[in-house]
Amino acid sequence: MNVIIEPIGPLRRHLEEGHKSATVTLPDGATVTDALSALGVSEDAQWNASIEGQLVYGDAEVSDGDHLLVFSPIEGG
Amino acid sequence: MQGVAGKILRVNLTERKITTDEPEEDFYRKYLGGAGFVSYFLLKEVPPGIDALSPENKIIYALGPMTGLAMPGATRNCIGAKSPLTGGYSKTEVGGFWPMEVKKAGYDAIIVEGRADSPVYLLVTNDGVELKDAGHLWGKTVMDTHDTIAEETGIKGIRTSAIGPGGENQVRYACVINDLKDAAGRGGLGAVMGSKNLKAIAVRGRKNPQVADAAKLRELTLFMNKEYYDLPLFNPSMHDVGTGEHSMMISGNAVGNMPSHNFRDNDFPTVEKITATTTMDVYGTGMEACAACAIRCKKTVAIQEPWNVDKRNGGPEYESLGALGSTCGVDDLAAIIKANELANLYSMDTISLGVSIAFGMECFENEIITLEDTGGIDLRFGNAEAMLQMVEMIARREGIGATLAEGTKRAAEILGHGSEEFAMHVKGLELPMHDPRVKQGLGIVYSFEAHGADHCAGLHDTAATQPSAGFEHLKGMGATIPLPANDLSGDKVANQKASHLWSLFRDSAVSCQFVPWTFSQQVEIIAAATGWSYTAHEALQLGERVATLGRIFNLREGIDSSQDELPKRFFNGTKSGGLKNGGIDKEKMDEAVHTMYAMMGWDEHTGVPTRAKLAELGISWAEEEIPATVA
Repeated sequence: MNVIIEPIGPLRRHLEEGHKSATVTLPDGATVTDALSALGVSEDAQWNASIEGQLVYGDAEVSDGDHLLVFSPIEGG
Repeated sequence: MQGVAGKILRVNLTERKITTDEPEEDFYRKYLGGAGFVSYFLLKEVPPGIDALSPENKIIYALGPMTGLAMPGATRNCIGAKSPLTGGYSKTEVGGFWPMEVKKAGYDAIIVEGRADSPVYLLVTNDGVELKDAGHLWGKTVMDTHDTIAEETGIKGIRTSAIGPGGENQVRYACVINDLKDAAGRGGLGAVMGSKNLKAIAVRGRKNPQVADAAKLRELTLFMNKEYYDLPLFNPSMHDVGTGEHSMMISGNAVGNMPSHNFRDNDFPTVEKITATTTMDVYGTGMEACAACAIRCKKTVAIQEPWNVDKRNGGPEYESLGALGSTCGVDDLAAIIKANELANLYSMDTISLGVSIAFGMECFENEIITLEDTGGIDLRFGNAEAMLQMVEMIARREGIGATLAEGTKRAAEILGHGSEEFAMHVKGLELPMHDPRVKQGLGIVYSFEAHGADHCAGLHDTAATQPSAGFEHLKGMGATIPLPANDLSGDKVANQKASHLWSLFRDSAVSCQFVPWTFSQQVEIIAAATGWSYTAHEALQLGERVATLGRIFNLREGIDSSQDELPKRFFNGTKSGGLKNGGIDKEKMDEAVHTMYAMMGWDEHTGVPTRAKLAELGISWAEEEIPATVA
């Protein structure tokens, strides 16, 4: 299956220059962590991710055609 | 004693009497400074049931052992008083340069009592302390006040902590501004200054107290200045644009964390127009720092048209961009920046100001406020001009501005007709720009904290959803496991408790949360400054002491567990966006709040601190302050 990953902010460094997103091909049952690993995001990086506006976590399974938004932890002040 | 001045300045404005307290070292070690001092003096010295805007209230400006050290994040002070906004315990922190000058002038805190019979300002130097006439300053903005004091005293490098017309007119969320742009924002403490006819405290000092281990402090400072870009707790965008960086606001909007239209929608498609990155790209003039800080997180901005904005007055933080922008449905960045400048000039908290205007807008759209009430202003969401007009009217308490100057809780009581549904506050303190439907653990803290909805008092759940070096650090304070942002289990409560106690220690130290000091390093700094064998256990126990004294202060004022609740809106989702699938499960939130009571050593059902906990914290004296009706 194919999953589109769109990093925002510093995590964009994992994309080819000039690209806003990347498509990764994963086996059935793959998780959010698998998808990010396929993009080269290391295990100890801090990130949040969402699919269709809902926060998802590392062990959540992804589905074919999912659009995964990935970003740094939202804090503020 | 080392690391502290050893003196507290006490100013009685009614009697125009100036005295000095010299507490014992045991007192310093137990309450440390900042929030610790505020909690102690409020409960000990402010009589129960008084009007927060009466002479009986006291306002406390408190430093900590970190204040004035030549290291990042160390130039801060805490201010506390009974809040005119909540009627309860209030404290708020601020940076800049003023706190360092107070320390160098020889004081760890300034306690102001009574009410002057005419406007005054306090001048504090190593040569003495005097009350000066401020009749000619009354009505002036914060900038004009600062400049006039600097000119007429002729003291080079003088720093001020002042109010503008918002404080004078006792807007219930008026703030106190250090110099021109650093706000002690929350709780309406600027209105307390206004009620006392106290326009400013101007300070210039010459000598820092001696520290116990200067070499250790130098080592820690060098470490932070050299390494901070690589530290796990550091957010690099802070150095570039301050709070509210592009990706943070865009991703926040994607998941429902960007409040829009008074927290009704949280789906703001034009959010890119109002981010800090856009602010700096279009209007930025540079980044500035508090004393001795390498982070430099303070934006400066300038605008010539359509409004003039002076860069001396600073640029908007994330909270201001959200509160005066998306919360009001406004994406006109120049208008938001102008409103932020006016808030600084007039001394009003941008969070409560923006949320109060958004409340007014929702009332207007529901015909609870009419065109006749607004004097013809079309107070709809998205009307930037109307938002700016409200800022002016609130500061002057003109027309509907007088109602909105009361804050959302009181304004809803005045307006009636179901408007309380639109009042976004906890205990009267308006919600900041972090939606508790997304950050549900932070919602526990919003609910139970003595001060009300305070985003600086707990863990932002989205920063602790997975194992990381940052989370490992939290474990050292009692956090359990990383959890989803919407988790409300006992483990989440434990995480929040750890973070909350850290925040209260930090606010007593007084240390900035934007500088990525670890908890252990902050404990080391206190030990190196004071020479005490200060431990992590003491620091966390101090956090408990501050929280528990604040809790008792509120109980004495009739603020009990029935007010530990979020507005109803947060138990429902939104029509679209990241929250369309629903809001907080109220039963789970209630359970989490009661679990927090138990973890804090308070009665699980009533939230009243137990006798055993008071004894453990060394504050058994506070037991007699708990009203018999709840004890």
